[in-house]
Amino acid sequence: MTSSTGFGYSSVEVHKPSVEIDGQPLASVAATRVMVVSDVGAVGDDGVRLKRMGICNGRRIQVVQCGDPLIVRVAGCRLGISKNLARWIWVKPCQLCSELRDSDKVSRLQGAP
Amino acid sequence: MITSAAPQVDRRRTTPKRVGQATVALIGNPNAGKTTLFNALTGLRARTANYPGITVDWRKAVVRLEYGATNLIDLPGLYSLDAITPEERVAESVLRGRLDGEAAPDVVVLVMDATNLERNLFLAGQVLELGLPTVVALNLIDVARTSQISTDADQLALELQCPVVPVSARTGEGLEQLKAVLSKVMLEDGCGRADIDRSCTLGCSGCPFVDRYNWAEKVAADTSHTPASHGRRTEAIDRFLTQLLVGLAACLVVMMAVFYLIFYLAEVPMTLIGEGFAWAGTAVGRLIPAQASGGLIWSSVVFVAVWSVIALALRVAGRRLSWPTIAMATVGSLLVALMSPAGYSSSCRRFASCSCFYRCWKTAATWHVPHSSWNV
Repeated sequence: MTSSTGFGYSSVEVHKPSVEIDGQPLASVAATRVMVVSDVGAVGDDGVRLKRMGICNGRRIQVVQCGDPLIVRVAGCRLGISKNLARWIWVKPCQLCSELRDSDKVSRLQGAP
Repeated sequence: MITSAAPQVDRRRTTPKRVGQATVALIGNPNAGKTTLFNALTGLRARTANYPGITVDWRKAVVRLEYGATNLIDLPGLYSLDAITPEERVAESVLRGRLDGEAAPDVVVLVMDATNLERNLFLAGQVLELGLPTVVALNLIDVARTSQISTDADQLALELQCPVVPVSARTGEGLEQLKAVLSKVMLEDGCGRADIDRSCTLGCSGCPFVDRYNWAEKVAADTSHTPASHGRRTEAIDRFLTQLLVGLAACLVVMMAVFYLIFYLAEVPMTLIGEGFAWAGTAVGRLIPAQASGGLIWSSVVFVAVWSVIALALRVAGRRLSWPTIAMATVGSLLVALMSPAGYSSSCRRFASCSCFYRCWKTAATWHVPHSSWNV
């Protein structure tokens, strides 16, 4: 099922899954926490943009700063995401990785979400 | 099963070309330094602002390699070949040889930012899968060194199966080596043509984005080491400036500074220029007899001014002055100068005075209007 949320410039085309998603919206995550993406609800251009920037299922991201825009660290660089869009990115805690910045740790955790 | 389409390049158009017709395309992420590298290789002065996505069109110039004169194309920056913006579609079309009148490039120079390897490797994976001869220019190597980011270029070349040349387009470091490698790739057919299969285009399970990013993460971890302190300062500045009130205040300060620069500081050179022109006008006016040669002087000034504007416009557009453009600029300037109000009568008269037609016309005009103003 696909629908639009938000108004005007900030509207986001999303799909609403029939089953309940394991996790919480990225917009509600506290700063510095490392999370794993469990679902990307945005579809269309927004969805493709997010995925090709590294925000896709199973990838680790670290919330650098809360607010609007939300700043996250992903694939070695920081990205600003509007809060409206961040509501449709579902994440769950990454139990194994405490610090995404440390590339050695990340390489050891390769393939372990 | 992944349904994404396999990369398609118009192979029929990638046959070897004669020297002078070969094409090298620069491709990479936004802000990776493609335009700076393009300028450094070609000697042009294409200007670009320091924010992503500024190159919205592609430009072409000739670069002298050991192989011979080669066309170099600077493409807009893109994050992946799944192009969703117009400039990304341009870059993708050129790379795949789908742009009208343009064959796929003979060699692709993949410009990668050494300070952010993982992000750049995502696009690198897609470009390498096209199967075109590819050379990686590991740009911003000087900045990486300053930031204590170490990159093993040999290991990266091994992982990507193509030549990797660390360069700094800003300082010129490594450019000669890059030119030499490009010549070598052009001369040796197949050299630099990566034969790798890391994608999901041939069928695998899972999201293609995840698989590609996992591969990029692994390659970046194997070939590059970033100290934990990297980016802390930028993060601190971000944290401070992205607060609501601080951000608004910072925006206001910047706007006020721009306003001040425009309306107060610019007044000094504007006054000087105005006074300079007034002085020059008075001085020239005193030297030149207005009646006899005012029109000729005016036409000459208009001609030079129009020619200068056309030359400046060509320069800004990044075009070189060739014989056809010089001829067109000259003809255009001449027409404008002849048609300018003050220059019309005198210039036209001088031109026509050389012809028999003028003599006939003058006789007729004098007969009808004995003291015509055309004789001034």
